[in-house]
Amino acid sequence: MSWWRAATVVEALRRPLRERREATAAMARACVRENPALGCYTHVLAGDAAAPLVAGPLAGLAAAIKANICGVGWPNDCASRILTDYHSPFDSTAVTALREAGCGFLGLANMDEFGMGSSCEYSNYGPVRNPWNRERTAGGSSGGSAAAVAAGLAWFALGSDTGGSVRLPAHCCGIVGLKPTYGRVSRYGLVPFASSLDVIGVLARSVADARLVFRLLAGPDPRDATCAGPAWSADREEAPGAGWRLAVPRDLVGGALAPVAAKDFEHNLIRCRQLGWIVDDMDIGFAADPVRTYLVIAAAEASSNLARYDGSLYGIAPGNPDTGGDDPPYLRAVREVRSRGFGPEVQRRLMLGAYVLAAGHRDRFYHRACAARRDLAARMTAALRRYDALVLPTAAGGAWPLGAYRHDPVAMYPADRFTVPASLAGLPALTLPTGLDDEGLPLSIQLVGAARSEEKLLAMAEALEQELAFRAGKEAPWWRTD
Amino acid sequence: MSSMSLEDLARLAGLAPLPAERAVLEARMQAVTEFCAHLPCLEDPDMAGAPEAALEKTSAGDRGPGQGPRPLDRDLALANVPLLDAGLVVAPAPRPDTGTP
Amino acid sequence: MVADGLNGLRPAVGLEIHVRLRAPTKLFCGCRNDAHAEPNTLICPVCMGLPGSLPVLSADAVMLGARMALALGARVAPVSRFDRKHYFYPDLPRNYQITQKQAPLAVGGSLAVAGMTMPLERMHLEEDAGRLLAGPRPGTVAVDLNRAGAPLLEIVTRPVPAAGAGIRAWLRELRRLVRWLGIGDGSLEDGSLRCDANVGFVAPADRDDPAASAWSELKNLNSPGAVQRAVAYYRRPRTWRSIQKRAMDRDFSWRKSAEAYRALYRRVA
Repeated sequence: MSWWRAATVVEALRRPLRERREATAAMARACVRENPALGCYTHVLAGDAAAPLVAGPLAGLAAAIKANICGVGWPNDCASRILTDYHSPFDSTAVTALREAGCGFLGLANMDEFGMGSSCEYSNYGPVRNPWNRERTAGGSSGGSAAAVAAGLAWFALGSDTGGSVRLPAHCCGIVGLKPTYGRVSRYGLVPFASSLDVIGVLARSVADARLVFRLLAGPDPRDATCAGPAWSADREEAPGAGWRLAVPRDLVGGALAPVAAKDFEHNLIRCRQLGWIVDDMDIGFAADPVRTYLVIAAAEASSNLARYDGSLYGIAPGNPDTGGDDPPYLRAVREVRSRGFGPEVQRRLMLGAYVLAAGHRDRFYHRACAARRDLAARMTAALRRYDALVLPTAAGGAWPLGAYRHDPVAMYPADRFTVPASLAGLPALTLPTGLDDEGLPLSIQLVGAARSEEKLLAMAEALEQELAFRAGKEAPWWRTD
Repeated sequence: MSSMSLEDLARLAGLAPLPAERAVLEARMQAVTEFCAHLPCLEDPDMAGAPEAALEKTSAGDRGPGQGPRPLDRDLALANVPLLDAGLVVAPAPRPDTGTP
Repeated sequence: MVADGLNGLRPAVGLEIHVRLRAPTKLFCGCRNDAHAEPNTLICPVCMGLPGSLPVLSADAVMLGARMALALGARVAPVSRFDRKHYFYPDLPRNYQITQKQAPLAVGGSLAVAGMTMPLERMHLEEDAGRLLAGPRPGTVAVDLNRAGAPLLEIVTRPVPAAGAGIRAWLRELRRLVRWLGIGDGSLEDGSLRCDANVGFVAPADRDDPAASAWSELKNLNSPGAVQRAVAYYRRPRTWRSIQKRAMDRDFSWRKSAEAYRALYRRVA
């Protein structure tokens, strides 16, 4: 087995630049070879994109970029047919930061179309397969990013998280997933799904790797009016100690966990206590269902954000207009191109978004959901004044079989039940792999911190990572054939 | 549930109605209606302090074919809007919607 | 002033004036704000609405808008917000316009000209749309996005009893003010000052029948003979109905205050 298959970025950076370049070149060849079986990339890149000759802290390494993060030199189709062959003329701020660090790009990571999904099955490129078990989901919507990192086909990856889209795939693939605070990392160049929830996140093989990348991304951006930063600050990085205070919001955890996952979760709480941390039980006291609150808000914002895809300036061209009664030809052309270009799940959510935003409905639906959201955010923020982090599972169990929800897509929505609270509250959250279930699939724990407390959250996660001594790179069995 | 038909919603969303999805969608709209009806009635929706994007507040209710700042001129054939490209535009023409009735 | 042939209804008018602000850039991006450049030379990912681009509000536009608001005695809101107004149209790259609905830049104020005081409802910032031009082939339309995203200040008046000549003088004075303050060019010819009139017919007090009142909007009345024309149209029911059908639904602008005006009118008439 080649050393780079399981190595972290931190380990790679201890080696000479020449070795890193060779390893990344071998990784790029492995991407071409292995991607057809995994489906983690929509496009594999080569040449200067994968191996730029730029000096910097990540020189010689290369990342996977989720297909909804814009950059010059590759197609940005968000795994959607409607954006076929769309090439962004500008770099996202996150991609610029990686370029300036000398980082290359191995490919565009497969995803659920526009980020709408939890299993990476709603992609124009077919599903992503989980490297631990190819009949299982890699999670979604950043499933390609997670699978690539777990399978050793990228040093790390950028994903995006709207309701759990970084954390759920990290959980399914046994790697670290960091969703930063809303507004700490620029969204400029991230194709929006739900603008008030979207965040660019990091998927990595270790907490230290996630920190390394996050340090490059964090900071204010004049091109994103909602991005106030701040940049990474060592002053915020409190030394990990015996004094961390954690709280388990029992009412958000509920009784939804699979028995093995529940056992793992409680076991991890014990390990936290063994580290000398305080772990209290508490109730957040939020009266509504976070998932449904999230669905109303996300569908509303998605239907607005995706209105621009009409086939006129970019993407697939309009075909024969539908028979739209006496509507003008332009509107019929828009309907035709959108109905052909969007997949069924996106269309479902756009319809639901139109429903909750329609004149006379906003106060009853969208605004009420927004008010519920503010209530949840206030409750979580209040709890985080008393505790350093909230502890939650990331998912109810290990990765589920592909196709399990084929006939009932709505039944998949609760997969996000543990991740949407942090999204609704705009808080940073980190998924840390903790072990394997009885089917050999990864399990994880999720830490949610106060706004802009990523430094502390990462310090906490790193201490727990050392205590649990589980790392995907060490345990994963699937590339022993290499 | 709502006075809006699925066809109305499809028009708002810029989509053709999906007959096969009718039952699923109606069930979901029903679920949303019931869920929101039972949401705790909180304060007036004032967004101050919320993490939402200040410039991107979604408030899309006014959309709809034929609505908006300019009424559509139905005589115009707009079926295929040419690609945006400098130099593509040939001759200035009056806006189709500036004339008074 | 009972207009003949109007079945006892009395005309009232409310104006929506769009002032293109003389800011150096567009409202949400750094593109030069220039109405006279070659088509599609002043565009960028933001005003083209490309995926992943984000709007950033221009401080210049806010300052110009605030200057106008203060000159007209309006209250500048300490916090104002932007909303998206959706409609599918080819001159609108995102298929929504960023405007201010729920929390406008300023509210209130008035402008008195020659004894006629026009009370103002609100003032808000919004972005302009692009321009549609004749396409290269018959039956096609080309899009010039130079104007897309240009900063506009919309001034919405409350409805007042219609008096055509007075409104014309009032508009002239507003235009003078716009120019003198350096807010905009105020040119009716190139559209840097555009005026839409909402013309309504109000039932007198003794006929408390909401259905009897009728409101509609006439677009882009750059020669302000609106009221007289509206009266003429109203006498021809078919034409009037077609005008009404084309009127847009803008509950945030003047229609609500029109109701208030109607109530007031009933009390004093």
